[in-house]
Amino acid sequence: MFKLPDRMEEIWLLRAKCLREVEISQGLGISKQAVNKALKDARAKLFEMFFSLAEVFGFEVVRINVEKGFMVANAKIGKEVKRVYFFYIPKMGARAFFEDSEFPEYLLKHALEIGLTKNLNGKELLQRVER
Amino acid sequence: MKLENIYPASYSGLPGILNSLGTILMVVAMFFSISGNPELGFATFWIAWALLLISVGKEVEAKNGKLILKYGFPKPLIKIEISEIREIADIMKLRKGRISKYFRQALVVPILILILPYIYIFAKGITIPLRYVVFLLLPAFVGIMIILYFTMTLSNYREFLKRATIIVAVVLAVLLLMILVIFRPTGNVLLLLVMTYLLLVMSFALLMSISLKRNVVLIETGRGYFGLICSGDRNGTIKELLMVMRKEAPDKHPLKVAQNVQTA
Repeated sequence: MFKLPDRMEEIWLLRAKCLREVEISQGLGISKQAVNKALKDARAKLFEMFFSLAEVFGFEVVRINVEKGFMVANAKIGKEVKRVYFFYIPKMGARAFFEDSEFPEYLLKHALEIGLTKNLNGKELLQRVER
Repeated sequence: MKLENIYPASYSGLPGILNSLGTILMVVAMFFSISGNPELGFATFWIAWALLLISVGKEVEAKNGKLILKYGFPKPLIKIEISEIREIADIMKLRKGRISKYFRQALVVPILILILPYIYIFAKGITIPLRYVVFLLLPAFVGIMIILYFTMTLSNYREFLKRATIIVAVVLAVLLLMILVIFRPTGNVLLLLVMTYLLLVMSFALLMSISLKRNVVLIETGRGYFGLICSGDRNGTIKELLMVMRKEAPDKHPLKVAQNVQTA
């Protein structure tokens, strides 16, 4: 499963919720340098994770955002090109959803939690990742 | 390692400022010339040209864990730490992606192109003969088209271009015909009118092909947004960038480790 180490994930999630590095370091009782390094590594791991997934499935990458943890890609299915959205969900790892599928509640809750959307609304989430 | 068919855009940062400043100075030069200061106008004109030249994107190189954006300026103006990159996106392929959302500064130049010739005409009090009215449309046309390119999504812009090409071709043909019938221009004037007409219609076709062949890639770091213009394989730009990031990432960096695992 594609997943960040627990401590790194915790730090990444706090940053995704728009907390500053200094606030994270104070909250977790660790140095600012440790937070900075964990975030750098988390971003690189997420880039690698999303890129590897795109490579394995032969998807064309349109957008990768490692701050909020999502990827927008194009999947060629026969002659049709479909959008695929990948999200990194804490404790669950990377999850993929096709454009015509329903977004599950846990994803919408996560999107709301990290400020990707303002409501539990799948359409709003799609608009947010497509602009 | 040089990235093929990828060039830095002058949309943001120092190159963006130099580019906008160059355009503004070009206009200031024009005003100096009108206001009876041709020497100062001449000097300002060359400064403006120099600023525009040094802000033109030349090449993108990946070296020692950094993406180096090289412009006309003798030294690299922007260095992006690969480990600092938070987002990579192909703006033209995002369904709601608009260049102006990330690079508002890019609108300065087309807005100036749009308004300044008219300010010039107004300031100098020039009366334009009616038969030359087609020429007056040219700066407005170019300015509006560039503004729309920056503010519309690619799919909307393509659709707009398709319809606008037909409308513009018909409207201008009618206008040209009216001028030909009413003023019966001959010789050079006739030639100029026909050429302007063709130029406008061809510009549409050119913009259409540019919008289909080029894409703009956004790179976001903690320092802000940077733009890259890609003219090669439209489907492989981000992939190429990610491959380079993998290759050029510092040792012990997760991207580098992943590359080594794959190589082994």
